[in-house]
Amino acid sequence: MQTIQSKEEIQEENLRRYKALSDAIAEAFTEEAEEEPR
Amino acid sequence: MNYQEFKQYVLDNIRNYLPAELQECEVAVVPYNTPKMQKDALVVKRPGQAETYSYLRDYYKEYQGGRLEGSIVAEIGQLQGQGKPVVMGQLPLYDLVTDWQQIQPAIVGTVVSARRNAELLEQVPHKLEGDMAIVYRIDYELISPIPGISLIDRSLFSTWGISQEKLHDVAIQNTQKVWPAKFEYLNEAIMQLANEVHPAASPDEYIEKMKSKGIFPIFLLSNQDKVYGATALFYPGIKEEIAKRLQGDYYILPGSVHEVIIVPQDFVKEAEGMRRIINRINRSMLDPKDCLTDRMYIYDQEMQRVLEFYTPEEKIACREEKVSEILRPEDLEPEL
Repeated sequence: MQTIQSKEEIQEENLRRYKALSDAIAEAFTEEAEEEPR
Repeated sequence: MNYQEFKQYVLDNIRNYLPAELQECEVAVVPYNTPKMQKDALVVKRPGQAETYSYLRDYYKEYQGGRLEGSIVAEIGQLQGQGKPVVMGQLPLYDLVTDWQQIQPAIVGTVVSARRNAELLEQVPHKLEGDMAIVYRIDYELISPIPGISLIDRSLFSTWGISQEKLHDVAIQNTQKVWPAKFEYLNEAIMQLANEVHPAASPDEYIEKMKSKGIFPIFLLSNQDKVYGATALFYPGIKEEIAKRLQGDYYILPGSVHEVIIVPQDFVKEAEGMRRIINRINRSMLDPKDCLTDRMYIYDQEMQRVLEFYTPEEKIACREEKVSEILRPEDLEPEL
């Protein structure tokens, strides 16, 4: 049987995922900026 | 009985009330989620026929109100056997759904993974967009007080005598009206969701830290709730509007059925790296049924077209397989 999710549960999971995405992207951008020749 | 026990009771006993021709059919409880409604529905899967949804939480409320569980499961069995459980006023559901003029305001579109739903797509009208597909549903609540959503299959579609293009246009127009698009910075989306999910909580430490880091030009396209919002990518004019706002070309990452990530092309030097990061997180944190595609697309403002992004290896594979849906690899600029 599949798990049933409410809208609130989906939003909570999306919030966690967006935070992870934001962190990972910020990290990648920062590394990219540091690699730029001065 | 709590709700889980009630659900199991219905599953264990439903066959006792199904007619002989449905005895061999699979019975399942499936989640039915849209931006407006999250429910679980009991379905008896009949090959080649539209499924009938019996919403168990509604029945559970009746059980809590004192109705006997045996009477509930008998009713579900009887209605599933008839295949048309909903009656609106005096008009049986079948007569309503086959009347195009009456039903068309209730038709909406949602996007699903074409790869994961290949079997389903054989049975329903749809429009392919790369490796995604827009399928069409009837949201009964849009034209009546009765909640309920059903997928439009080929047999129902054929009763309307309309083209698939017409169905698509009506569905997308309705969807845009009911679930308007929201385009915003990813950081803004996080702040809005944090307020909605934990409205009374003390200031979120993550958000305080995020504010201090500054805003990265990563955008999110979805609907207000950020639930099943990836369909917004297919609203008329939306890609052009985004290009105007971003003043140039941009990458499109439709990794999830809930949203699409948008990144201005100018801000990314290593697009493949960014795609890897986003796909890794989506794959590890998303329910597989909510994954849309690992592919990345590019909106070309000058051409006003969506092109698929290919790594050099993918380009070669694609040429060999000749399977590009949206564009040919040779349409791409050589370097990104």
